[in-house]
Amino acid sequence: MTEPERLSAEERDNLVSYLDGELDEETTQAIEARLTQSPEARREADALRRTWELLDYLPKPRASETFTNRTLEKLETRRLVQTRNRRILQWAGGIGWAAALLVAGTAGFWLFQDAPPPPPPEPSPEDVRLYEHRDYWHYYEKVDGLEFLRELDRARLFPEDS
Amino acid sequence: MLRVRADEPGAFEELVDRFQHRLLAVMRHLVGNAEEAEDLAQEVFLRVYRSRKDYHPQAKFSTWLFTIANNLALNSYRRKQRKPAVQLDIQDSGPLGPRPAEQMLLDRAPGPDHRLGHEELASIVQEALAQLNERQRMAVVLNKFEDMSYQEIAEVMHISTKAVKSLLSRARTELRELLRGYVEMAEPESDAVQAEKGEAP
Repeated sequence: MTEPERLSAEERDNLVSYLDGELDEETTQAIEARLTQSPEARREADALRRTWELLDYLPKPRASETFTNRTLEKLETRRLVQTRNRRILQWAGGIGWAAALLVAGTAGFWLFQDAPPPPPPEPSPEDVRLYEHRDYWHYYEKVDGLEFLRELDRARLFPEDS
Repeated sequence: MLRVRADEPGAFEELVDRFQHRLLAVMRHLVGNAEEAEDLAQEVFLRVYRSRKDYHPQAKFSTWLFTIANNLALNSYRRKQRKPAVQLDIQDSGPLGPRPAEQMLLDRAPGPDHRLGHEELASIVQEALAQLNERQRMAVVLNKFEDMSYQEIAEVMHISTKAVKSLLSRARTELRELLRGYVEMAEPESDAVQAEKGEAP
């Protein structure tokens, strides 16, 4: 009887999964049948299993005695750095807002400095009468102020009509 | 982990104490270097702490832990690839045959009458493991030393179970090739393990 041909890539994948106990029922049966029929497949399975067992020779490294403490110290350092950075960011944010307000204030000052003066208030009817009173013109030119004319008018120092 | 998530005092310390050796062993097998393995393991725990509020108890804690470990180990590997030191351990045999480090292993295969000591064999197996690419190595280490199922490995590595199956098959075939000359030299497994534990075979 001729020996079945070498394992295909798929059969090899399945063989490894079979050794790991990861195959479904149907594929397990197929692989077991192949192992029964083929000495080549059995040799392959045995070599894979024994190679896998060689990994047991690898050292089992353990963390050093100080590992936990050093990890906690590192965590604390990071926390401190984060807190400091957060404060720096908050401080920088405050400075930023202050600078923005300053810029806005300065810009506002320069913008409104050159703006036209507000329109004079509408004269009251009494003031209109003072303006229109021809006799007052002379005094107005002298004192250059309406308030003074009002005072004179209130004191009735001017004739009622001219 | 739920206690860590709730910021319970002392809980994080307890968690580190409990998982440090397992994590360190995995990291050591992945990166090879003891100092780098400790640094990476510490970083894993710090990230666990940082992401503690994102932990959902549906996920097994060790799966979550090793997912972070896998990400960090891969990042570290990629960083090293970008800044390569003198490196002989190029992965996988090329079309021109075994690469230098693989050839070294093959050349050192002892004669049939030679029985290897435990330490010598450990060093050879370590070299063979280092020849696997980083994804194969991760899958092998999780399967062998963490006893993870294909499904759990798939979750940790963010790949399908089919991809895990293929990854492990290729890794084991490659290891078999690299260690072909040593399988017969090894003491029976039970003897080796018992010897290590200091027990009579």
